[in-house]
Amino acid sequence: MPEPDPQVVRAARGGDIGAFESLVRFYQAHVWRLCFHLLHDETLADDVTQEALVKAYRFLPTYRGESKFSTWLYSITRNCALDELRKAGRRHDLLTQLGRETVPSHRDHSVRIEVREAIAALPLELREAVVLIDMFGTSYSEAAAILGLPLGTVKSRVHRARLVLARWLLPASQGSAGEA
Amino acid sequence: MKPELDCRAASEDISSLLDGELDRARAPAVRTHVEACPKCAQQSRTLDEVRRAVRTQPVGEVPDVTAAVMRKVQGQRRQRGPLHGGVGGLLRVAGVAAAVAALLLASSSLIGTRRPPASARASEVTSGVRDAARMLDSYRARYEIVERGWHEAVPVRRFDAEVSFSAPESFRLTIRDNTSYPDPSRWPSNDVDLIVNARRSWIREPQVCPEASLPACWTGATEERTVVARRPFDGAAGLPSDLIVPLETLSTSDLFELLGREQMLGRSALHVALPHRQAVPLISALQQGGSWREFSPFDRVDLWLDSETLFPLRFDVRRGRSAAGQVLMSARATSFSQPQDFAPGTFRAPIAALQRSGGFEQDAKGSFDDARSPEFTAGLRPYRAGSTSAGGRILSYARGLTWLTMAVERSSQPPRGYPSTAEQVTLDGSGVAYYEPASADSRRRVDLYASRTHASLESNLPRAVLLRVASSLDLVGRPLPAGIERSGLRVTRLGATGLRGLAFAESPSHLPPGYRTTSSFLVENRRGHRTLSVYYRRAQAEYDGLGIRTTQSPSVRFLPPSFEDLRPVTVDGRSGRWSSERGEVEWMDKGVYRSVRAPSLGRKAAVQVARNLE
Repeated sequence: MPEPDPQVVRAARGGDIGAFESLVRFYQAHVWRLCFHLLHDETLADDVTQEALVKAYRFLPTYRGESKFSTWLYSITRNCALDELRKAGRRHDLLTQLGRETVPSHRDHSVRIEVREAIAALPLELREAVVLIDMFGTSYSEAAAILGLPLGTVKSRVHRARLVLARWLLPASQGSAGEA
Repeated sequence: MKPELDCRAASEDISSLLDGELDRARAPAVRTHVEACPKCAQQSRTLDEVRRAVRTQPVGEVPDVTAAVMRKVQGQRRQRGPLHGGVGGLLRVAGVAAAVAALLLASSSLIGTRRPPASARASEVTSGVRDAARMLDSYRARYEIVERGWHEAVPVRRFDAEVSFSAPESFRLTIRDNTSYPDPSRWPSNDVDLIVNARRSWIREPQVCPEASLPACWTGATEERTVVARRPFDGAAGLPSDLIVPLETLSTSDLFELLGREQMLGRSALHVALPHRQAVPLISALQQGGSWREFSPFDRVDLWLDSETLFPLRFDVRRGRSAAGQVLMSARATSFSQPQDFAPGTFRAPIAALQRSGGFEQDAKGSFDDARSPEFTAGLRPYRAGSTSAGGRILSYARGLTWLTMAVERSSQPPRGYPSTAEQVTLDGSGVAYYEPASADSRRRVDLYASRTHASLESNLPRAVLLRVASSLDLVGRPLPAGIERSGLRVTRLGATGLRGLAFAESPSHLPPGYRTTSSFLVENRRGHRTLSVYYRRAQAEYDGLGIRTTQSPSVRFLPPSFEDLRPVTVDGRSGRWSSERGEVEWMDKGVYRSVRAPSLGRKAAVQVARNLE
């Protein structure tokens, strides 16, 4: 994951509003994408992105640099998104909605939609693991820190997420081998 | 060799092994098992394929929330300063931060497990081309091109091409035709020269002659044309800049797929695949003049980018969507460099007998302190400024291959022929504007109609950034009149409420990814016949100039007769027809005519949209 210049973070912590603005510019797309993958609603993602960044500003003085700045910011983002899900009672397990037929290999352009939809249909706990690790490129330990989970749990969740995705996305022969 | 681990124990570690996250002590045993056990090897391949599919998901457009966030932050700051957040929230986040620290310490035993170099992600390509395009000052490359299927009498043609660029808008493209034609005196040699600089552009090409009539119509003539008094970045959509860094092709697309890293021409390259309809700026860069074969929007383009510079090393256009389709055109770089200097005269554009004026008079000393200039220019630097023969002002900004122009003119009348596809957008503090994605002949564009002033911005910056530039103008855009009368027809722009008020109107419940409603128009004639058109377009680019359009009319009683070659289709049990020429499906639904036109999406997708109307 990209990390900002530590001097910028220090300046922002010290109250330099311009430095904070450059952090917002640097991270807003990542924060939005994380919100979107957790919430699956563009409008909510817009709102929660703003909320998370404003919160980050308020709590900047609590950031002591022990973790990567991105890890810290993503945990705030995730908390805001989870609050939103709780508020809206949106925490559905969408698994049952997916009585999906098998689809061709992802080399076909049409399948891109399938990948996106399949990720959206994963239960939240599997989705957030696979989004952080495969889309955001965090290490397992960074994901564990963001999710507030033991490392072993992250490891098994990302594995389970991929097994489910394989079943949905790959031709029957391959997908079922994944279940072995 | 008998595997030492059982499959169940190994299986749980396969993902970690693929991610380079498995404990060093355990990795060799799992690797050995996977190599020896066909079932686990298959599972490993499957998981890796899923992993790559997820990792190469491209990033769509993301809104720019900076202004909104900074406004809230400033508000808070005024109220209570940055350090005095709510206590509950502070404790909770402080708890997260502490937990983060604790977990990082706890996991320090994993430091020995080195991650492999992260595979490139689609999002990195997107941001990479944007950065590369901004930073590029100069470029020169040579290509070899092979084209198949241009004419039945000439199955293969071969060319050498050379492209030179010096930022911000000096280009030179030279194409030399090395083809062995059946009778060289009767066939045009497809030699093309294009030179563009800040003042002029010049092109030389063989005189146009339709392929179907060749060689009979060929007169042996070449044609030269010059544009003088050229406006900044005039016709920039047609310049071969995507040959240098495929900025437009890749930075605004959600349709490319990153297939991985490969060796190409002795260099490490990123392999990307995308449909031709998304690669138009790259492929058409070579087809500035002369005669070339045509491609279908669905043909597949494979592109290899130098992983260090993101210059295209090679691209192939294949017939159909498959990677196994016949190669119709292939271009390979034979050399590229970023020269400090170019030979004198490299960008000198000759003045041909056939000329046209761009009507631009450049200020001797560009004045950018104009009250109308945008406050935010996305880091682009003032470049050329001047006036048009109609009395307007044009300001331009550039950096590397990235550019922005703003034209301002006084106008007291609202425009009459404004494109119906433009999307009305609300700007942050600057009122209302009209946005259009890039098409084959213009880049993204925003128009503001303020009191007695019309400002239009055009740029190859992404939509969100361009809208931010528009928001920073000291102008307040006003909405265009909702209805206009034109040649006996009344045209009314409808919002969501207006659409809902039309009993016969249906909207698709589901659209292909990236498409959203951009504009709706109701056209009524004197006899009260009504026709509704709704446009659905992607945010950044519609190179066919359209996207998706639905047309619905309760006044049309039957499908109009047509001489086209139409194919029957069914839409929810009703019989309809598909015109491949127009890319349109049409049917009658309980006395209402409906059609979906989507020239770049094809029959299946258009029929799918039709079936989703409700």
